[in-house]
Amino acid sequence: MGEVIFWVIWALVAVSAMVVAFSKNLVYSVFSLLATFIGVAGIYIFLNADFLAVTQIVIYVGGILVLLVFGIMLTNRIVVAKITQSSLQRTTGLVVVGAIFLVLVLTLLNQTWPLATSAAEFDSTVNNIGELLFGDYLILFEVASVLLLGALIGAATLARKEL
Amino acid sequence: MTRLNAEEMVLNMGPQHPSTHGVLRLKLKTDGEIVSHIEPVIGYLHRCFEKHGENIEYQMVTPFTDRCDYLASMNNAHAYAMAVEKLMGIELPERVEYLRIIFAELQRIASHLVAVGTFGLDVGAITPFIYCFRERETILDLFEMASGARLLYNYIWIGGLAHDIPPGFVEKAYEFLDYFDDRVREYNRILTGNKIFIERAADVGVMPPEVAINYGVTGPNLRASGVDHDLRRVQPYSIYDRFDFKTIVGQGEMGTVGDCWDRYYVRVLEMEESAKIVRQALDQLPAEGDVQAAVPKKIRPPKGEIYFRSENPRGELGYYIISDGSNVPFRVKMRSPAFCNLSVINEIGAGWMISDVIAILGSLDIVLGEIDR
Amino acid sequence: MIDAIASWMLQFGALNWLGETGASLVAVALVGITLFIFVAANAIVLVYVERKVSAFMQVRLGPMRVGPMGTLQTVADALKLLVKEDIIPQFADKVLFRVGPWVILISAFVAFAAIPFSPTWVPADMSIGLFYVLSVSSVVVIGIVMSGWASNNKWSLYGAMRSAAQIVSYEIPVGLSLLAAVAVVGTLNLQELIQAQAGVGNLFHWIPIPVPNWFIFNNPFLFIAAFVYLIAATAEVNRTPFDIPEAESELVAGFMTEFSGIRWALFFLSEYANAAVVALLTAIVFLGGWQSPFPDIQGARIGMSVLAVLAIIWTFYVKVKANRLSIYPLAVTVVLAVLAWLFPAFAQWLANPGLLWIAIKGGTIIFMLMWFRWTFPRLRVDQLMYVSWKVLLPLAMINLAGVAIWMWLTGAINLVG
Repeated sequence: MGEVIFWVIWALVAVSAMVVAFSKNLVYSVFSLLATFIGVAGIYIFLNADFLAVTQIVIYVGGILVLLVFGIMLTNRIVVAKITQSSLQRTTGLVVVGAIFLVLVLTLLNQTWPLATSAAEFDSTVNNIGELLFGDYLILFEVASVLLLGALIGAATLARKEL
Repeated sequence: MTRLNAEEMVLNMGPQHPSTHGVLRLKLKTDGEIVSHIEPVIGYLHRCFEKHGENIEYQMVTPFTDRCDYLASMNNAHAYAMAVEKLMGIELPERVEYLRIIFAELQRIASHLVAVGTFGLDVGAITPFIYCFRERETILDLFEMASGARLLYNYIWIGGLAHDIPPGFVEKAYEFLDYFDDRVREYNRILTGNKIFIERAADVGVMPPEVAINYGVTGPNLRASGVDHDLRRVQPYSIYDRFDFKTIVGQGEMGTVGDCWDRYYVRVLEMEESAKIVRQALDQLPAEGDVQAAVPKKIRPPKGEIYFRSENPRGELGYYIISDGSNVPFRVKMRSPAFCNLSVINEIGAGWMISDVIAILGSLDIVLGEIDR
Repeated sequence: MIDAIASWMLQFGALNWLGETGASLVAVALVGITLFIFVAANAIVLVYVERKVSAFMQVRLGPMRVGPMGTLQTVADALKLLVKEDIIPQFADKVLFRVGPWVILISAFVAFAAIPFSPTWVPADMSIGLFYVLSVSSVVVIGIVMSGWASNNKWSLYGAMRSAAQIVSYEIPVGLSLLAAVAVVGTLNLQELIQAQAGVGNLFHWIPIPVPNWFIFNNPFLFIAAFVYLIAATAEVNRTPFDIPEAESELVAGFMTEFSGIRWALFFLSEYANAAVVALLTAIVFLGGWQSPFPDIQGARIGMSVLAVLAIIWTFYVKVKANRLSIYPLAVTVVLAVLAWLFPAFAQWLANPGLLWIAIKGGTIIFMLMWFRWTFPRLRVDQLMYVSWKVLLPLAMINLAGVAIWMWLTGAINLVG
């Protein structure tokens, strides 16, 4: 059963990612990102990364996607329903994307992947992540949070009406 | 630093909108939530009151006045009757004057109840509205007792009243007053003192006294801006000089003088004052007497003109009547308070958010029947 | 729970052909359908209750005509909505207009997957249950923006924009206030959170008043956190006084303006499903979930007696203050107390953890949400943001730090080790 669900999720991610890339309507692109993100979260669950999967939904769907939607709706004339995208510079894009694809495929082929011998016992990753974040990587964690705080204050300052 | 200006969007509020108190249309120019310009579009409820007035007899105009400000029918008819009586020089029996005051002030309470309730509704509080309507219902019951109607009474006629009050009316009226004494405290508890309500209403849509006077704003809206002007006091008509009542003036307790909260609270306190007047009038009401002065069957005022103004719940209601000596008025012009009050909306509403514009409109307490006539 | 149902099914010979995979698929479907029926019934019951509660608060009777006391009114309404003409505005975006309501409903619905209804009834006992519920309910905002934008109506768009800003802002205080409770036990598993709240202890650890070991009584910071959560969650599910996305006196109906019939019914389903999730989550995290407030038979007897005494005081207070005789709370508590003293089995039943208690707690919270709705005016957009960023967020952060300090003081954690 697991395999079937995996392929369903894989198809969801692939199809919705195609829509993101090729849809003429930018709003459709953004909303189909929703399916992509949720599908990726599903794949994380197959990798036993439950915490990462849920974080993916919170951050990407609840945060980034809303931001994107906002951006598209506010930067365009919101009164007009049609917002389109046109793919410019197809050749350059093809070259860059092709190069990245090549690198990824080569890595994929050259790497020996450890295969789980049996269905591994499901073990939550929350505790490990917590201990690592607040133990070994505490300094990095704090530095990152200070950076984000700075960004937040900066954004709030810029957005204020009176300066 | 300059602000990034997005394109302005024109938003049509109304004529079908829950908060425009009838069929008013507001053209809002908005930048995000901020409204930069408000243009009221009126006329959706126009019923040719003034043209009718030129074509029908004097008595027949009375029911049409009821339909102008349908929340204050008694006051409208009262002002019109007084105007014609003054033009003709009719002396009224005492009892008529007292009864008219009782009905006018009860109607003022009923009208303010609607204003207070719907203002609560406009800022999102639904329950106070129902409470207000519960009290209004009792007043309407009293009116039904006297006139048989609950909205458009046709009760105050030229030269008197349609008929005498039924037995038991005075007791019922006292009963209502006793019951109503405690209500204002109830409104204060559920709405007036509510923190969210104060946040929404205080300091919002401040109308300075100069602006109010320049735009011809009258009634509770003018008094909320701190101008002590009440025709019942300044230029007493009927027998208002015999009663003891206060003119309520906005104090700016929660914010600035003339904000939405003041306009709301002035109405709440005026209800108390009106109740006081009704009680005094009931006490002094002559037990016996005619309710109709000697008026000829065909009303033919002498050639001439008159402008008569009175204090309607919404402000200064004026009738300008020209008589050519026949039994049909040559011209009946109505100075409607809500029309002038609405004209100030752009002055005090521009620059606020959409939600505030709703609150400001609600606090002005307009009745579209009167604006469009 | 799914495994349990699957293995139970396989015990019957007739169902053996399903195999292990088939059995668990069927079990998943069964649980899903049950939950969906629950969500639908929940909406129908809550709409009725909401109308009745509002009616009593407004000195009215509410629905009275359909069925006894109007109980079938919402059923009739639901039927009406089902058979209504399906209208899609001409210039609406047809695809997104159709998808939007479903996104909202699904994200509200899947949150129930992690909610434990009793010690054994939990659709999926996840190690990250709490985080999961929060994450899926954040998807609601996408559905709202989708349907608001697709309607091609300015009012809908305003509603969608407001809602997006509101939900994104209020997710943070919601998360932080729940985190304060999580910090006490150190688990995100909802079942473990509830199990940690068993028994009776002192109020705020030191004050010698026996109270259930619920997190709301665990320490003063969690007491505040519970209210921060309730306020922020009210905002997150768009209920009054934070209902600015629908704000019927301003935005007509906000993002739902153009919807009618079955799609509009979906909004209602999800609104009440969301309210139920908020109420259940409050009950689980702060009020001990399915834990009984009484530790044992004796505790149940004494507890019910205390409640009866409180009801007597309340009755007197109401009588003196408002000159009204409110007899029902008195009668109910006294009868229950007497029953508890007479029948040990009844007292034992009261002391048992289970569905009853989480239903009572959740119902109380939902009643509070309704109470808010019919009492308060609505906030303005900027005031809403002010409340979130300048009041609730700092409060939640201070709380989180306070919980840590408190635990260190009471010796629950040792900073050195």
